[in-house]
Amino acid sequence: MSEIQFNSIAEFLQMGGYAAHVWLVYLFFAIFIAYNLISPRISKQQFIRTQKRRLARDEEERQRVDQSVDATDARQ
Amino acid sequence: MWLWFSKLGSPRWFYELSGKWLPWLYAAMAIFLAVGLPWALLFVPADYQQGETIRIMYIHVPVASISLACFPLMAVAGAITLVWRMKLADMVAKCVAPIGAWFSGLALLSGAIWGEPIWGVWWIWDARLTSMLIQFFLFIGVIALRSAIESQDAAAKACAVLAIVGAINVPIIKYSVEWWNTLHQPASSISMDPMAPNPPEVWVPLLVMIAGVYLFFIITLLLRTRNEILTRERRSKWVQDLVRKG
Repeated sequence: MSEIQFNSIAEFLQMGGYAAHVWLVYLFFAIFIAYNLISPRISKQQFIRTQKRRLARDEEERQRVDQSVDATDARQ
Repeated sequence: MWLWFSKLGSPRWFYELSGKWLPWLYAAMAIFLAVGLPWALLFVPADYQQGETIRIMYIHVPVASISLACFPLMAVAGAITLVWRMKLADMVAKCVAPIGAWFSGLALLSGAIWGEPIWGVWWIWDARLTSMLIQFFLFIGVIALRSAIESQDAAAKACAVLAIVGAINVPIIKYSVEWWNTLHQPASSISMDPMAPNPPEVWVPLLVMIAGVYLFFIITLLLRTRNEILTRERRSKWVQDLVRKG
């Protein structure tokens, strides 16, 4: 393994005059990695949230039906 | 073997198994990128022709080479879907398409940014660049095709066929630099000799970056496939239990 190729931080940031090119590519790479790791996690949370709501609604529906059946039974 | 194959086709089994793999994959990816990125940015010597722009290679080459793995994977998953009607294979085929589009897009973008100082042009219609652009559009086409067909079964079949046919493009991309006279340079041979034009201090960090980006590819594919499993199996009891817990 060779040594660090730059003498100062300023020299490192300048990238031999190609700062815009080199750093732009690394920036896009960072966005690419971050987006593709975070967005599936967000969609999973959204999925869990909507499914939870749906399950709760189904549960309520079932109870309401049960109650009305009970009421009909009581009347008879 | 066949038992294993049919078990792997069970979305629930795959969901649970991949959940166990993910922490290890994350750790391995973090290690490879934590070694590879500083190595590429700080320690690799500047190229005698290309100067510091050589550092772009450590992003461009891993991303571009893995983008070439996406299409064959989609084609194989498509073939399995057509032949054995394995549900999981279609889920993988569906999830790899947007990832392939991302990889191809970044390969083109980083290549353009690299080409501008080295070739003097952002873009040129040479065989390598054009065939890569076609691959990018093929991924977009597969995504569009799936969203255009309402029936899930019909969409799976149509996308599988398009993936298998489109895979013809992959060897064209790979060998374009040898078949035609391209501005894009061919792949360099690697050498253990420290005096060679391509010594280990140049390609070892490249291999580290390729490993890191490959692990990233596997992780993001697993994350998307797991979401697809949950969505398609949302009426099953195990997903409902998982939702109640989550």
